[in-house]
Amino acid sequence: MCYHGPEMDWAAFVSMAGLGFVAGAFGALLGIGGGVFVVPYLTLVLRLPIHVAIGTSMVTVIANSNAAAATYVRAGLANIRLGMLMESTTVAGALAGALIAIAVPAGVLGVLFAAALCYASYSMLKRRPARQPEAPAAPSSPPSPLAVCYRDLSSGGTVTYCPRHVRWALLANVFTGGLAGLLGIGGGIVQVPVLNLVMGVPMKAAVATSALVLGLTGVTSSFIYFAEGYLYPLVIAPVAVGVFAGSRAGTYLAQRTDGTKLRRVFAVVLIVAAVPMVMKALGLGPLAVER
Amino acid sequence: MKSTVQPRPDVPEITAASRLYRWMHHVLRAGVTASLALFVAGLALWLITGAEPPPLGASLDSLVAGARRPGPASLVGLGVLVLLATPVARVLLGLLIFTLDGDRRWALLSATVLALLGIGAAVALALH
Repeated sequence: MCYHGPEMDWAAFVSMAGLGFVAGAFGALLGIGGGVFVVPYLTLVLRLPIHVAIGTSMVTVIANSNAAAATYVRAGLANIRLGMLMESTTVAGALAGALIAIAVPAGVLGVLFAAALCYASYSMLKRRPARQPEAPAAPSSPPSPLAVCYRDLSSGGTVTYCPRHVRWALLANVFTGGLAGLLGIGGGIVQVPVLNLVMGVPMKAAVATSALVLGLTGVTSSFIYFAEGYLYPLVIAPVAVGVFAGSRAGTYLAQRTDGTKLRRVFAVVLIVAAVPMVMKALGLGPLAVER
Repeated sequence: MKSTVQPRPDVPEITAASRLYRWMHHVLRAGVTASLALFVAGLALWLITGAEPPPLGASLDSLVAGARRPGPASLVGLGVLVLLATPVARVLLGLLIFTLDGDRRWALLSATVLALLGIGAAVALALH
């Protein structure tokens, strides 16, 4: 594959860095990769082919993960052992998803992506408050390697939790990885609810752990997209620069803020991004897919 | 909602103080810093020199080949490679620390994740 993209100048670079900032900030704040912002922008505004947009988005997901995880690991919010456990199934799913994606027509991918955005929006709107951690086990219980204790900056106290229903969560994570590989997203829109609602991980720790896992999911998916040539470095670089900056802001806010109101705003943003993607994929309106 | 609970005697205090967490933070931070510096340098050179943009749809091996030739494209290509390598380096570090700590189960899990990544890379190469 060899064709030339849009005109690149200062204005284009600044706009892409701005896109990256938004993706990085929201991504770090909510434990997602930010691909739900990047892919629609690349396809609808820059008019990149969707396979190239997805491949490029995977790299920015990795950038977001690296930047956010660096802060969350230092704060003890990201559960490294739990993340590694989840990576074992997410990586397998991501590989399968990416292999399927290269054989799927662009229109189908667009519809699937829009459906994923709608699900993410519904999930954010319906999300219940994070469940309380389990009651402390008896002192004679052997310590779980998955148990974590961290300082919560917003409440000023320490939080201790131990994830539960691990096997079910690992199974769900195969689907998370598949979604990531198929659509060029990190999978955090599924992973965060699994961590919080299924495993009982406090919301901030769920966001942080998801951010950690996204990087490896992105790397796995990237192999296939790069092998097929779906990569545009001139777009990756400014977006990634913006992502790094936005991620710093997102992690700062995540550690100090209750995310309920922000999730509702984000849900609306996802719907706004999904509508033109569906129209484009279905050949409706001025953004119809060129066939 | 009150998020503070009583400390549990069966859970280590403030997990982030452990060697695993401290070193993993260093690896991630180093990867971010290096790739950011390469991206900024590459973009600045592109804009200053007015070099011809690369064609759309570069692949990983063209990135690697381009990284050997001096210029803005090589800097950006290197930045992408560092970005991709950072999560892998994180898992490698985990494998090292778990092995040094004698934690065989987690060392094996780290090795499994690396093996899965290797399979992914092999499949991608086979497709190419």
